[in-house]
Amino acid sequence: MTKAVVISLIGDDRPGIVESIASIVVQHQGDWIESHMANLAGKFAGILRVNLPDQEFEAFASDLKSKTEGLNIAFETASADSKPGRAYKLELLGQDQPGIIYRISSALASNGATVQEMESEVIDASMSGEKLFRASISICLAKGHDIDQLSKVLEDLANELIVDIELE
Amino acid sequence: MKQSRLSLQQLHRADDFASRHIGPAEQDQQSMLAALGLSSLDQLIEKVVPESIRRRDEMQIGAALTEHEAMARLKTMADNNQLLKSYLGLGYHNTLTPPTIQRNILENPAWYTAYTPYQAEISQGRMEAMFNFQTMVTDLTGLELANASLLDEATACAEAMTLCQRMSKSKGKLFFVADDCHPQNIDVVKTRASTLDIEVVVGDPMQDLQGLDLFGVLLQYPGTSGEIRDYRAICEQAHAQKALVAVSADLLSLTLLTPPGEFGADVAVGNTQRFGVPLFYGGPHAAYMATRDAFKRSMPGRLIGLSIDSHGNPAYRLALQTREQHIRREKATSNICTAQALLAVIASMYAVYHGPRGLQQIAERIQRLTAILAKGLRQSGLEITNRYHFDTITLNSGDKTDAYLQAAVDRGYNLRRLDAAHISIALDESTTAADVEQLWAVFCGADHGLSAADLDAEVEPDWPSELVRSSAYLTHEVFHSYHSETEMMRYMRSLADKDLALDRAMIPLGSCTMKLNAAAELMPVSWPGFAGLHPYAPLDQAQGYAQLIEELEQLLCAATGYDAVSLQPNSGAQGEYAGLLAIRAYHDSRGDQDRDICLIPSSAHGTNPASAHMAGMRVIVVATDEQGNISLDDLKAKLEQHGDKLAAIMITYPSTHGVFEASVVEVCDLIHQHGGQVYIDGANMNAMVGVCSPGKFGGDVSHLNLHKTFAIPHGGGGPGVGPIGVVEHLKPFLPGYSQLAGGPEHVGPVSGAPWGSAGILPISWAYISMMGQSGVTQATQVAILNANYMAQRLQDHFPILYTDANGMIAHECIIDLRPIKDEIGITVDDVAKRLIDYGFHAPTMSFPVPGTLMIEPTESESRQEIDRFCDAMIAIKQEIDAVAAGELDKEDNPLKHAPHTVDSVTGDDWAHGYSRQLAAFPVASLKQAKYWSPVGRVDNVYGDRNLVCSCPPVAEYAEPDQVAVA
Repeated sequence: MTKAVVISLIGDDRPGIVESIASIVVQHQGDWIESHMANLAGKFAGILRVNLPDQEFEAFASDLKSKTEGLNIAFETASADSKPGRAYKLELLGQDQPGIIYRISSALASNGATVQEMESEVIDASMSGEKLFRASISICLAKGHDIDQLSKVLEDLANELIVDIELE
Repeated sequence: MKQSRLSLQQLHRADDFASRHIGPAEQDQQSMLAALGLSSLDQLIEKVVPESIRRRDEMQIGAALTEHEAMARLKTMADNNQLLKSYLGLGYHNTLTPPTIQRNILENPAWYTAYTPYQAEISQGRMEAMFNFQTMVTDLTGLELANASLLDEATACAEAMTLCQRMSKSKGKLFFVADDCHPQNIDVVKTRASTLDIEVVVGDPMQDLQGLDLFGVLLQYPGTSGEIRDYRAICEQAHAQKALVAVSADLLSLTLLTPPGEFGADVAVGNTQRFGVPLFYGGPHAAYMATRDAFKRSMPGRLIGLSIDSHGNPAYRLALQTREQHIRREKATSNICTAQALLAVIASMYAVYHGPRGLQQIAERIQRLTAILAKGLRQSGLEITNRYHFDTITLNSGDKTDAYLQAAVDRGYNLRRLDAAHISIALDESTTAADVEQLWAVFCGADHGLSAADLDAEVEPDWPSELVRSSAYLTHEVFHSYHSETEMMRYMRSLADKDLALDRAMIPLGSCTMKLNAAAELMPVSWPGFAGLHPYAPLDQAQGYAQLIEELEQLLCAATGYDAVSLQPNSGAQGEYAGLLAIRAYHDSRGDQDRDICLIPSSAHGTNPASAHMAGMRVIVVATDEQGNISLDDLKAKLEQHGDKLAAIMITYPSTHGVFEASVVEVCDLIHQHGGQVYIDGANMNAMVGVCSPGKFGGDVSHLNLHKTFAIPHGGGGPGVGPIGVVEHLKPFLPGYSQLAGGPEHVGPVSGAPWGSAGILPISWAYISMMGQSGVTQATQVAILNANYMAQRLQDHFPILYTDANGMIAHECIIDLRPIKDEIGITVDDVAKRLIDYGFHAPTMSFPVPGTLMIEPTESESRQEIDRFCDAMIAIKQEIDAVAAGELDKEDNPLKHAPHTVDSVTGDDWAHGYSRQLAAFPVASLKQAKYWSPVGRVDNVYGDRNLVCSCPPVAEYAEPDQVAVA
């Protein structure tokens, strides 16, 4: 049997982290399915999904923990990767303000949307120099929920937020 | 001191103007060159401008004229325009500009030399005036929110169309335009729709709406024939079909008529020209747009909002900027990134000057005169076709139409030929009873026996109650407080004094070319011979304009190397759009309908992708390399992939990074090899005149910003003029003229008036003519010298982001503040606001690279002023160093708290860890002349979270302390 595992890793960044993780995956006959890695403020943060034989999991987990010193690692068994509902991509642009991500994520959750992927940044706006919040969010909208309604809720939560929506 | 004897010719000093326009005196130029290790301007240009594009031929621009010679020539042209009284209507009317507004605003450099109010703190005066404009429009239209103006009524109609499409719940692709809209509005809407997959249907909205799958309707109110109709039923029907209703309304008529917001309209647009702004042969004028609050995120154009400053006091700022194209690029709501600021200010001041009662009386007088005219004509047996009218009537002229029109001209009046059997007459503020009697004479003969005074008693208001306005307007104190000229003069002065315009200090805005707007260039603009002409006056009455336009077109061809120029686009972004339409039409004419891809480097102006989107093109971004140049590898890859679909590339030259890219010829060649056209954005033309010409090194079309390179002022954030130059094969694809035979035919008009903002063309004509061939070239050379000298002085203190292989820049440079932010926490914003304490307008912020400042001194700034600016920048760097060294606190320092107001520096409770002296007078020279910011740093987030875009209730105004932070 193959086991699907989702692993999160966070810790001080240093050269060779990804390489060492990848080599451990290979040693345990694992299959690197997908991942997102980033460096934020000097910290390495990653999330990856690996498929590997059931019997390898224990050894793999302990190897990973021992050979990647300084990283906090957590394992979750992945569920079947079915996505009930429709996938949308949201581009959000607005003035940065405290709590903006919290408010956006609560609005998403309470309107039947799960976040598949989210990237965000704060940049200086051209000409005026205002602080702009820009986010790109892939969501899956559960059946029975309306994307127009979600868009309205998002736009209402911060006067200034502009939401562009694309169906994926 | 005895000097050698000069010849009479030398004593004439024909090049006097050039030496006054150009800032650094000859010995200063020499010392600045020496600082760069150079000995002559020619040597500088050889080093900066790539040999592959160097222009060696002579420009066909004559020798310099003196200021008075140039004005004398313009006077001859103005005199060749015949000033008949034009009652042509079409949204353009004679108006009586209050002299105090003409003198204190239109002709006042404190107002016309100001820049767009991106730096809110130093723009409070003009933002208050534009805020008054928004209040005026909101009140008169009865809608919830108005912007700070658009380019002209016709383009505002086109913007209303796209706003309806964005906000309507209908999926229809059809836009219905009432057949009694002004014809130029219909034409411009059609042009805009043609590339956006929108079908325009023109018809009678009373009859034809049923069953159409439409997203919007455009109505004219009153109609172009003068008829006034109750549009409630149409609004209801359109809404039932999920469509929105836009109304192009005459703002003055709304003092008497039920406003659009009260009969169900969703959007109102129109011209505010008749609020004291001269006709100017078509522009510039401020169009307005008002809509529902719910549509605000989708509204095009600038919006002034009320926020608070760092002390909690009310302060204005530009609101909802995330809509703008420099941020949203091809997703922007519109490519309009500007407002007709100066003209909006004048229109708002006209309302401040007259107040609601004055406006209403002006409107009633016009309506009365029109009623008297109509009654007299009816009594004489003529048929008036309107049931109701405000200022315009249409009469059945049968087969005598042309005879009547000629008789009118003979008596000094232009009337409008509506069709072969109908004439319409639109009266205005300047019309007198004597004019009405003259008009009777035209139609009824000199012995008509009618008397306006007698008929006055007989005409009664006949509008049904649904058409009569009952709601109050302009109730705010500002429209009631300045009705003595003394108070009015002081109000305008007090606003001007709050702002930092070119009349006070250098405005070193990269990419904006804030050069001198000389008085001799501006004076002819308000001469009646230029200011008083209606855009649709017969061409034989506009011979002076015809000459001016032809000569200016030739001068611009000479300066750019193009073969033809269209002066119609009334902003730079409109020029981009017109240029791309030309490219599309050219491909179409060759059967290449599939060519719809527009390549745009990532460093381009935000309007480029927005315009490309409007022209129906798909935008593909080309990467730039580490030096900021277009990546040839990426370009080749994109061409490989998209070559057969390639329509155009849009490049800016010199690049937005301020560098002459040596590879430009290769880029142009590659595009041409793949069947594309090269659009060269002329924003940086000031670095090219006389030393290289885009029309010769590979460009097929360029727009020019006459308000940058050719001396038209920015007017507090106005669009100037954005003509396009094209090479021969694109000439047939220039925009056509609305309502005028003889223009190009492939592309429709892009502006309401045939020559756009014709009224300010004398400025650019005068600039080029007074500089002469050698003067305009010298301007380019010194612009490049000033920029390189400045970069040289600043480079030891701030990293210069991009230079060419020789370490040189073009006419502007980018300094990188990101390392300072990362290490010390001082941001671009902090530096920009601190510059205000030093008496300067900040350079361009975070464009084209976030976290940087882009500086462009222009040729007009003297060495002293450039040194003063560099000294300020270096002093600020020392303050930053003091923060880094711990001598100043990381948060409580003069940068973070800039700008400092008089109130904060002189208050009893100075709580900062640095001295008041350092706060307000960081350099000694400020003690001689100090600009005080009227407000502390403006809170952007508060402003957008608590959006207020028109005057709040009077009580709140009287007690600014009560504006609380939510």
